[in-house]
Parts: sequence; structure tokens; C-alpha cells
Amino acid sequence: MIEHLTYLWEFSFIKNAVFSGLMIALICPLIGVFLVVRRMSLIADTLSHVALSGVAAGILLQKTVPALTFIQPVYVGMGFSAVASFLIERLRNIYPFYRELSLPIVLAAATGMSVVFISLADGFNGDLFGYLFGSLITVSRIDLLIIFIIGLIVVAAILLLYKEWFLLSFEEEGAFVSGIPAQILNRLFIILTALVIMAAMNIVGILLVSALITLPVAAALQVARSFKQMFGYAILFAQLSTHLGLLISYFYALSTGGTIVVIAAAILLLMMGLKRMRQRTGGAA
Amino acid sequence: MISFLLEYEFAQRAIMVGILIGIISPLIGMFVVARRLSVIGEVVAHTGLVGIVIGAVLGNLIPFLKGIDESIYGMVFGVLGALAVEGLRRAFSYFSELAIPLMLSVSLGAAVVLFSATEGFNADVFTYLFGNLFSVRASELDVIIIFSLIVIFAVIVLYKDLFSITFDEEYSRLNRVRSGWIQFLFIILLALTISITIRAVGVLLVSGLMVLPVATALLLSRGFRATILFSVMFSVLAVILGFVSSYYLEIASGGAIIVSSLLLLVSVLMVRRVVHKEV
Repeated sequence: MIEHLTYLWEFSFIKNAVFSGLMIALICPLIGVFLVVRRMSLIADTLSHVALSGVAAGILLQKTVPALTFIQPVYVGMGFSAVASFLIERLRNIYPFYRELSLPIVLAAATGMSVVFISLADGFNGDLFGYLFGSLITVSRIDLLIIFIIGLIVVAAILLLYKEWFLLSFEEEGAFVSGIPAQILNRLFIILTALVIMAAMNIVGILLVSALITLPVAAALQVARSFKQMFGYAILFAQLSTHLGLLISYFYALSTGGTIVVIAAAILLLMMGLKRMRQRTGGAA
Repeated sequence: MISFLLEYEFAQRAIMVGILIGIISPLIGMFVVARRLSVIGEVVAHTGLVGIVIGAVLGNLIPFLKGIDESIYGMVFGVLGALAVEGLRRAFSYFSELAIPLMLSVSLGAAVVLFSATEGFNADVFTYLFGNLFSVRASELDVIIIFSLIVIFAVIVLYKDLFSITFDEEYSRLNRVRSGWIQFLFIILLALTISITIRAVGVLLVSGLMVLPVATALLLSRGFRATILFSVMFSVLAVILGFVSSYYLEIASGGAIIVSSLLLLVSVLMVRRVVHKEV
């Protein structure tokens, strides 16, 4: 096994996958903790579907306008999710009685458009699977570089604005009173989420990105005793599921993103069981 | 244009299934939206997918089980998914809204792993994800018709009860047992609707067909009954538009249907804006 692993390490695509996995499993739970405590966990799902429609539009663009082939579909996806973050806000005001309706509307609209773009580009093929569910071999050197740049931006933003976001998450009124520009910070946060989604797309796939954002955080919620501990546990669980997932999916030829998600789900179940046991013994003592 | 198309048997089947789905989706969708459960359709569709995949795998492994239609597995798992969301909501009492994204990603992940483990990772997956109205086989038509009739019939018979559990909290409090049963029945109807809609528009778009026409009808702001009628109208219109455009533009039918209902939503929004300005 060890020999096999060292042999594997010779391949650059494996190295790229592992390094990008390290970074992704750091930034996904970082953003995830804030998304969960701010009760915005569904936004990741919505933004990732919007990213899909952007990627689909990018594929179509590459195919129809040869002059634009230098534009990677991934960047079009990023632009789309940034635009959508504004749209969601606007829609919330159109349905004053059903505010929660805006997310499913954007979700459905984005997915519908992706399907139309993809079929116009004749894109229902193997590449699309990579985009949807992630793949080990799609991470190129340039992708790795982009993932690291995004990672640095996200980590820096969170370190710099930790206090402000913490306040916004737990004491929204207090944050207003102390003059924190809440709206700008919120926008920035959604844009960061869109960036994380784009970074994680290669490995776990568009449809499963939100899993890596929410599952480790949900598991951390079960065992963490403080906000800071939550970050620690969430990152630990995310790293564990990403790297185990990469390994298992390689050896058993399974879908990479799917395997990562299933492992993350198993960790969550384990932690939920642990919490229950702890509560029981705690109650007895 | 359409009459030419309708000479083909597969096209007749497709349009028939499309219209049936166009009727039942907003019918159930109206209650889903009014009960503020608009994302639960998404969960039922995703867990339903796991069921459908398991059904396909079992059917291949055990010849004895081949006779059971995949949509039945889909329905059972859809119901289980909806119940699991309730359970998770309780487990995460403080962050109950986490339950939905959790179920979404876990079920999609599980379905994908199953797909890749059985090496069914081919064109089939796309059909499940994005649907294909034209792929409905003659043998499936019966199941779809029966399921649709059950849903329509059940909504008509239970209309009063469904209305009460949606808007009348006092009713639910006073009739605990009865309202519990109605809620359970409602979940089953939802799962039934979704399991057959998946064939036509795919897992990722099912809840769009439940939500978009209802959202469009809500903009007209009439009574509950009128909103149901309008939403059924909008969705059948979207299905027909999608059907025709998917055939002539050679695009996937699920996407075409959803984009058509999106266009209807946008145009109603525009008209409303113009009318409001004139007044």
C-alpha cells in the first residue's frame, strides 16, 4: 500500500489533486462556519447552481465564438455567481410574504439555463461529469495556482474581517450601532462564497461543493464547545473527508466528489452519535 | 407545427406526460409554497434520485425485482427523505435550516457514488439529472397516468383539509391526529408527484416546475383558488412551449420547460411593473 502510494506520488495530477484538496478543505469550512451561523447555508447551493449556468454559458461561448476560447468557462461561472448575489436580494423584495421563495426561484432558473446552454453546445459528455461531480484528473497546474490565489484571498479576508463578521453573525443590531458597513460586508461575504465555490469545483464538482461547505461544519457543531473550536473541528473533518475521499475514489474508481461527500456524511453521523452518547452519560452522572 | 409533430407516437406520449406533469406539479406546488416548504421539493427529488438508482441497481441484480417500476423506489425514498429532514431539524434544533442543504448534498453524493460503482456513469445519469420528455417509454405511461390521477383526485377530495393545515393553525392544534395524517399524506403526494416528474424534467429541475409557475401566479395576487388555476395554466403553457422548442432547437426538454416558465415569470413581472406605473 505504502509503496503504491509513493509510486502514485510521481504523477503530477495526483500531486495537483492533493495540494488543491488541502487548500479547498481549508477554505470551504472557513466560509461554511459563517454561512451556517448566519443561517445562509442554502445560499451556497444556490450560488453553485448559478456557477453551473455560468460554466455552461462559457462552454457555449467557447464553442460558438472561436475568438473567445481564451476565456475559461470557470471565470464566466464566477461572474454569474457574483451577479446572482445581487439578484437574490432584489427578489426577496418582490415577494414580501414569501421571502424564502427567492432561493428556489434562482436555483431553478439557473439550472434550467445551464441545461439549455449545455445542450446548445452539445456538451453532454465526459467533461461535464467533471464539472458536475468533480474529478481527480482535471486539476491542471494553472488551476492549482488559481486555487491557491483564491485560498489566500479568502484566508486573508477572514483574518482581517473576523471581528466584523463575528459581530454581524451574533449581534446584528450591535453591529449596526457600532457603524459597521453591514451591506458591503454582506456583499463581500457572498462574493467570497462564490470564489470558494469556483475553487472547489474542480475536485468536488459544482453540485457537491455545498456539501464540503456545510457537512464538516454541521459535524463540528456537534462536538465544538466554542466558536473557535468550531473552525478547528470543521477544518479537520473537511481535510479528513477530502483526502480519504481522493484515496478511496482512486482505488475503487468511484466518483471523486461523491466519495468525499459520503465520507463527510459518515463523519457527521458519527459525531451525532457521539453527542447523543455524551448527553446520555452526562445525564446519568 | 405541433400537428406535424403529433403524428409520431413518441411525441404524443411526450406531450401527454408533459401536460399531466404540468397539471400536478403546481397543484402540489401551491401548497408547498404556501406552507413555506418551497425547498423541500428539492430534497424529495434528490433523495428520490437515490431511490431510483437503487431501484435500477436492484432490478439489474435480482431479476425477480425487475418488474417494479423505478419511480416506486423513487417515491419511497422521497418520503423517507422528507421524514429525515424533519428528524434532522430536531437534531439541529438551533440551526434547523441546515437540514435541507445537508440532505441535498448527502443524497446527491450517495447517488453519484452508486452510479459510479455500478459503472452506469453514462448518458443515463444525464437523463436522471436533466430529464428527457421524449425518453418516456410506452410501458411507463400507465404508471405516470395512474399516479397523476391519484394526485389530482387526492387534492380535490382533501382540498379542505390541505387548506386547513396550510392556513388554519387552530385547526391543526385542535385536530392533532387528523392534521398529522393529512400532513403525512401530503408528503406522500409530494413524493409521488416528484417521482414521476423526474422522468420528464430531471432531478435538478423538478422543484422548478413546482415553484416557478406558482411564483408567477402569486404575482397576480388573487385568491388561493384562482392562484392554483393560474399556476396550472402557466405550467401547462410552459410545458407546451418547452416541448416545441426542445424539439425544434434540439435542446434538452427539462431545461426548455424550465426556461419557458422562467420567461413567463419575467414577462408577468414586466407587465405588472408597467400596469403599476400607469395606475
